[in-house]
Amino acid sequence: MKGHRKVQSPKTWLAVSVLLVLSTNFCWMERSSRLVAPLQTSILAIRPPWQVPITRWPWTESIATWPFALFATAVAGLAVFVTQETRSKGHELWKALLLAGISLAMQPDQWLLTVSIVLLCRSLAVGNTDSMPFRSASLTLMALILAAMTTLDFGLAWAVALGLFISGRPSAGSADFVHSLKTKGTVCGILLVSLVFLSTTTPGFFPALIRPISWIRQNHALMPSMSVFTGSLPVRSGHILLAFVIVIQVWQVLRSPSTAWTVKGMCLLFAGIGLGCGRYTVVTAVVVFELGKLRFPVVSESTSGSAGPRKFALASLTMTGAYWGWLLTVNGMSIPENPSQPRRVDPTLWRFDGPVMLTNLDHAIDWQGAAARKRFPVLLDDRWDTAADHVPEYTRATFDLLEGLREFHQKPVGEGGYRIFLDQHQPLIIAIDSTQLEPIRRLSVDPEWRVIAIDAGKTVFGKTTHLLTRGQAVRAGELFFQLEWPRPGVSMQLDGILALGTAADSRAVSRVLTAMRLPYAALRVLPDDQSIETEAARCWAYVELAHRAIRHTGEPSLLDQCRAVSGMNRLRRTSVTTAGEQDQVRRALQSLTDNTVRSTDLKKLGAGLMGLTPEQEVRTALTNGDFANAERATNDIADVGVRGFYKVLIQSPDLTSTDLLDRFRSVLKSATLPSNLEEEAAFYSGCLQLEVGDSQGAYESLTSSDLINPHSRLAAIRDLYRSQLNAMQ
Amino acid sequence: MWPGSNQFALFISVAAICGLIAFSMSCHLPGHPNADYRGDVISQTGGWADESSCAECHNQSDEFSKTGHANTLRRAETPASRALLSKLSECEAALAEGTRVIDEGDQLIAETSPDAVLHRLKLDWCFGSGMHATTWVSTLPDSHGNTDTLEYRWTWFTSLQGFAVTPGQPAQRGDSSVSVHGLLFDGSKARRCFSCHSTVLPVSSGQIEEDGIHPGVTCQRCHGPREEHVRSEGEIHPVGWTTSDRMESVRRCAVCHRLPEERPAADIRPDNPAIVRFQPMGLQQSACFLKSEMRCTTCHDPHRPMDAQDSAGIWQCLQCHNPEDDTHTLCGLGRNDDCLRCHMPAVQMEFPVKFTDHWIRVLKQPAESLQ
Repeated sequence: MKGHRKVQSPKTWLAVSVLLVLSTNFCWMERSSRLVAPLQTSILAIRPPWQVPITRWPWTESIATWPFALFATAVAGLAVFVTQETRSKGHELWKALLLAGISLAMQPDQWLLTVSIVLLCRSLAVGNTDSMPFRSASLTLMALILAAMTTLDFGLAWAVALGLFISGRPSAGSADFVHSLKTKGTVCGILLVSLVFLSTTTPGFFPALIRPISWIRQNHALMPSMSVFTGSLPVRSGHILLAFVIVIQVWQVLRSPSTAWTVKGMCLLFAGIGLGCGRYTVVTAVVVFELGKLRFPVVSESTSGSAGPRKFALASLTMTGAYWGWLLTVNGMSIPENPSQPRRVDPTLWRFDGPVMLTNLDHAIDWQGAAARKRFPVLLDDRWDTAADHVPEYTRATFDLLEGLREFHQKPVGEGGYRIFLDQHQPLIIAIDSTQLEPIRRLSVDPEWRVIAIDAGKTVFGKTTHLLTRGQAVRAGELFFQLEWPRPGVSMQLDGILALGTAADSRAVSRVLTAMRLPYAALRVLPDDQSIETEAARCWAYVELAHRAIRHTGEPSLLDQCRAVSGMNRLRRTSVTTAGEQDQVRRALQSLTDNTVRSTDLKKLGAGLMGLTPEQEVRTALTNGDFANAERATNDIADVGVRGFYKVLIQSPDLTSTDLLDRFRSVLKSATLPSNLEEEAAFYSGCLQLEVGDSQGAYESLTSSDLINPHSRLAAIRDLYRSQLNAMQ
Repeated sequence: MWPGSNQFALFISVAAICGLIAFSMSCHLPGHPNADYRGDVISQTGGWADESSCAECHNQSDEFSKTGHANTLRRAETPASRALLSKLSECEAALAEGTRVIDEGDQLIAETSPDAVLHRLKLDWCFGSGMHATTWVSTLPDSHGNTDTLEYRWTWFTSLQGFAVTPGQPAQRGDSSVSVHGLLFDGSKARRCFSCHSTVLPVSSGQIEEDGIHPGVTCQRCHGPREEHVRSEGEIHPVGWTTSDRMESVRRCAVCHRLPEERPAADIRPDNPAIVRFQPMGLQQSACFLKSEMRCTTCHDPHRPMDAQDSAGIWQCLQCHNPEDDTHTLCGLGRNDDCLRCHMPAVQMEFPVKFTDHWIRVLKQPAESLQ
């Protein structure tokens, strides 16, 4: 590597990388990372899958799983090694992007593959094979064996090796043994014979070998990790950075007249794989970077000593610090206060076994730990190389499940209806991705299925018609009931039912509970912070509460309506939400102002606002979230008590539940408050007491509201709440 | 600038990068393998023809508009629907509950007032052709934007010439503002209701786009989207009904009339009246079906109204039970007419509608033995 020299700021870059890896998982002290894919098998697999060879030895189980902190350091070390081992003038930015991308998007089971590929790229570089042929050949062999023994995607490493081997040309006048024509012919022949032999004698070998190509047949909707632009925020950001690096590198390589066409072809092939399949983005970005590295002009000694790169490294470190600040404040990430709180529900705590159907095949890993594998076999896992014939059938059933198409129907291609598939394959458990809220909402009212566990990754439904799952369903039901309608002095056992983990995990669980029509439970599991994400989850619970009130009373509960509409309007204005979320917000707002079951026709009221009393104007404005008009009309109300009541409602979006409760208590003390508003204020107090967990107080407030007018419009919802609270007395 | 080979390299590079990006996009957009597995064909967004053009070439269109299928869904504001709803005021049971329907010109509002609280509900759709019964439905968005439906508590029964509580609903009405009007169905059941009463049903993330509904079971509901067929003036003839085998043909009807696989095996038995309503379930158990090539359309011509077709005649039966053919199995009572009265009796359900039992068999106690 003539002309290259060691970088000056690897420690800074190492710190940047470690911080970025740690930012992807705030439970780094507890979580471990599995570097080797576990033994896998699925019920619908049509052939025995190829297993990562070292998993056949049980003792490797312990060394294959690393503490997350160690994994973070390993990723950072690799990222720095790839990007900073040599420095090239003018390309600091690309290298920084690659380092950030690797750090954010590296998955544990891709680390060993990336290490193998970096070793291959370095060992098969022409300069190395020329000067140290034996060392180069040994390193190549070692990397190939490492890939084959520890990864499922060894085909990618072998393809890189083959490509570099074929494309490499010995330097003029040298006797490069590795790249000589004779050696190439011999090695290719041996390799071809070996591959044919292994493919015909070893079940699952060939499909595993072509995984880097066969992913194209897999539907990304079933396996989001296949997609470059989905996944968690850090992974998505990492992929975008890496995609950028790939495109730039391919551009550089293709433009270079001195680069061999075989190398250009390799670049294009790996770039295609990396941009098409998120699972390979990190590793192919590294390959493309390594292939393109020779193209960078080498820095001269005079400029290499400049302070520019060091400043750049320090600037990157500062930016990483700012990113951490953003995560901890605006984004609402937090280090868990209770380190023992698990992030995932442990199915081995359940007292039954049975087959599992996954709507997100990336979650197969949750069911393939040593203890769970035999008890909870999955119908189909993330091994797209083993069950190609069943994928269409499974995909169709899963899409139908997600869309709520239970019964037989005609599709543009073929027929559908998930019930027939379930009858045929009899899964006892359906695990739906916890971000798929609409399917969760639909299935939660299906009499055949009950939610038995929730974590941030998956919401698990058990088949209620089966005796074994019923016990878990009852335990889970009791816990959800307790969260929605809290009984004083009852301790809640979350084990095996709820895993709240980090703040982000709690928010995801909260959204699931809202989708299950349990808004008070959803509010109860939310973290105590003011981040946008937490506020959004809280608003969705208010939307659910507002709907519950409208459907029971025919009129909005102004307390819930104000908080929901105001929250949704705030969400609509924020840039944090995606287009899909914006659409959800739009629909929620539309649903809140829908008039179908209104006892008062708001459209007509709106049309004739001039004829309304100030109080009617306030109520209409509050229902529509028009706080400016509500405030103006409130000032026109003469009665102090009435004005005070509406002032509290106008302020409600900015107050905590406890503060609101105090305000309503003050309102209730007003001597001039008319009885209808007194009844309403007492009802709101009861609702707020439910929110803060004071079930006894809630019951009393609801009863006092009922005593004022037992036959009012609020009677239906009040009776429901009181009966639920009474059920646990 | 880029002279000579450099220009070529630039061109190749740009083309390759564009190709890569296009390839990457194609992996993530609809159209990827398996994308066609999504959804119900009636929720397909494109490919539908304007059915007014069907009559230009197909004479079946003349009578089709009078069929029950064609009229199985209408807007609640249509004159026929208004006319029926106006008779609710003659229903004593409804009046006793304080229920009435107010015609506000642009909308029909159901009102009921238990305990002096007025509850209002806008009626949106009218299900059923009126040949047997007509039930009204209101659509309601839920908190996630899905379309739920509320099935109105009062149904018009043609046999009664009056209203009665909708089948499947409790005798006592509910308390809440919604349940006081009827029964609430969640999004997936709502979609199922509409899908069997319409030809095109646009659905986006659980939300039924009501303005895009093509109401009624019309040409393209059975024959599939026919935009290309119409555009090519019949040159393009997509694979469809005419080329289907008989099982496929029966399954098309069974999309709404139900398949045996949709019920537990234990339910499929001759003494279970609950399956009478689902004609393909019984038909597929019949010896007549199993030992012949018959299908639903052997007896029923879906293009013609029931009273204009010979579905209740005996010529179909005589194909295999002809007294003039010695090889045929004949009626034990020596009859060669009125086969249906004994072998396919009309069975009274728990509500005032009869369904013909399509499990064709020798009944020991003919007619209404399942009641």
